[in-house]
Amino acid sequence: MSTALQIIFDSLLLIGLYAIGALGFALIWGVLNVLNIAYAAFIMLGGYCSWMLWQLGFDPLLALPFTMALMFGVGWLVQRILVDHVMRGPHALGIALTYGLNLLIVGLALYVFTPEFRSIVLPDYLRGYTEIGGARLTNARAVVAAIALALTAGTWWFIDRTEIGSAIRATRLDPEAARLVGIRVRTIFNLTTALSAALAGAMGGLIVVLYSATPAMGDHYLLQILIVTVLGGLGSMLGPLAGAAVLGVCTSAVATLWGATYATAVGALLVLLLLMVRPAGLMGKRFYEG
Amino acid sequence: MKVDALTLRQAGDGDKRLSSVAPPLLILLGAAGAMALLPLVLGPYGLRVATTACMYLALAQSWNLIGGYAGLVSLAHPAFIGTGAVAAAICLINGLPIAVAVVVALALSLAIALLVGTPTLRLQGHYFVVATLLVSEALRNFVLNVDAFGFQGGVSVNIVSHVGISALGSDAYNRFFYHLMLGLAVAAMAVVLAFDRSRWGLALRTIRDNEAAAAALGVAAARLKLAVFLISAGMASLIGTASAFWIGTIETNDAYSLVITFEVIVMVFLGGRGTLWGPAIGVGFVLLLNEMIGVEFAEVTQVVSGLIVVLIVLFLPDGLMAALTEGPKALSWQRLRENVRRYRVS
Repeated sequence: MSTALQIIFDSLLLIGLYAIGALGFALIWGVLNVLNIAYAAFIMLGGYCSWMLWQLGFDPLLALPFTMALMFGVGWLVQRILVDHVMRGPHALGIALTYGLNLLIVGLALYVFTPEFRSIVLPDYLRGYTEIGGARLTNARAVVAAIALALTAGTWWFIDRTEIGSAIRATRLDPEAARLVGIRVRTIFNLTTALSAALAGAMGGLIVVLYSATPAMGDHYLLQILIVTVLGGLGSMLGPLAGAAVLGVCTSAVATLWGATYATAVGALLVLLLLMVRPAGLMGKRFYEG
Repeated sequence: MKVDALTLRQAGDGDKRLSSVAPPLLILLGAAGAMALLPLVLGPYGLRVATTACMYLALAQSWNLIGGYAGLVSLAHPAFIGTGAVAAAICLINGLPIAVAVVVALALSLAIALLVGTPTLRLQGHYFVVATLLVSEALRNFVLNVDAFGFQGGVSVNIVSHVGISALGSDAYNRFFYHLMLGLAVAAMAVVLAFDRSRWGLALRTIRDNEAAAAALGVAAARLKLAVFLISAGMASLIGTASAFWIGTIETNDAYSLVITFEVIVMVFLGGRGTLWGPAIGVGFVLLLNEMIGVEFAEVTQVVSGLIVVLIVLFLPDGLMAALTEGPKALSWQRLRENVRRYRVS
């Protein structure tokens, strides 16, 4: 019992991180139908942004909103200047463009930040743990899970309960019809990428607190995010959380039972099996396909 | 048949589609003949670069079939290149003859392609991209953990001694692999040429541009896509095997590397996807650029190639090929501005 509980507690950290990352990634995939490879660079930039703020004396968790705000701006600019210009082209163009952008940003980061590992000293209040049912739940894990829940809830509220959110949903369903009822589709696209980048920034900011930041850090997480996004499915706010829960528990269980090297293989296999049975994902809705 | 060709020609865009195979085949054979003589003038380093170029050209054409003509951005190529390299190496170090090693590696890659292609080729849009990427990564992680037949995430011995040509001197050895890669590249070009000028190539492009319309016209989309996926996978596997024999050391992470596949995709995009000569132009351009900046400033390469990809996608979405078919007009400021606006959200 306590082993099972420990596996779940251990996975909380990953579930939280993956859920935040996949939420932003699913947003841009679902609404813009762009497979944004540069999301990896967004995560990395968020990580370095938090690290620099910490160097300036910010508390690492308090730096998170600032990081998100900055990444919101970066996302807006990237969409406005670059991705807007491939929106009506074939899928492959968007993938190529964001791949090139990712190369460019990561390459520049190698220059500016050097390949060295940068990490933040964990503040005291994140160090302790509580013992529940014979298993240890560290504060850091609980906090990350709480932040992930809060961001998921916040995004759900924004998309589902506000006027701008309904404009985003309308654009996702049919950009032409959205334009006809007076929605500025281009602004909605810019806003969606900005939100998505802010969530990537939050993920990066948390990663640098828990682990460390390197210029290539985003690539690994992007792969996990892809797994989580497809597992959870598009078109549902709970999808990323569900996908992250499945992958997180799986990764943690596989790592405990067989060793961490099999974790990605198991996750990928899970996705491939799911895609055969239920291409829309666990929580996804079919009409977002295509 | 004559009437068909005439109507196609009058349709304007169709004039090049089913035109004769002879002129490009002659150019191809001429270029191949000239390149076969290159070892006479190149030093060891130049020969190495030329071999690499041939390898990339063959890979680019194999990806061009699935990514360019069929329009399916497949990231499963590392799985086939890697399996071609690793399976052949495992066969060799266990004492099997070369021919058996090549066939086993090819058969294994084709089996994987069949297993992967049947379910994933039905997927729409980005799901196919993600599924193929995950296939590559899953396979890489799996092979990394394999510990059997003298293979432990890599082959510790240099397999060159098993290839059976270690008696050759280093010059003859380099020349042998240059000609092997050149042969593969020419074969890949020929396969793409055959596709480009055949009914299947036409059908494939129809599927790419509008699958519903293609299906309505009676094109067996699913079967054709699977066939192209298999051909492309087989080509990638053979190139993987050949490069494993050439390099001699096999590491799982290198063999299944996504980086090479991404480089190849960039080359195809740069030259012009879904064209016969585009990938050749792309390979030449990228490798030339790498040679110019790569030696002293290896770090710059990443920034520059990223910048080039972004600029090409924005300003020349059809690739450098456009400049070849339409002349310098295609690079005029006005055309570039039109290109930027072509796919922009209004």
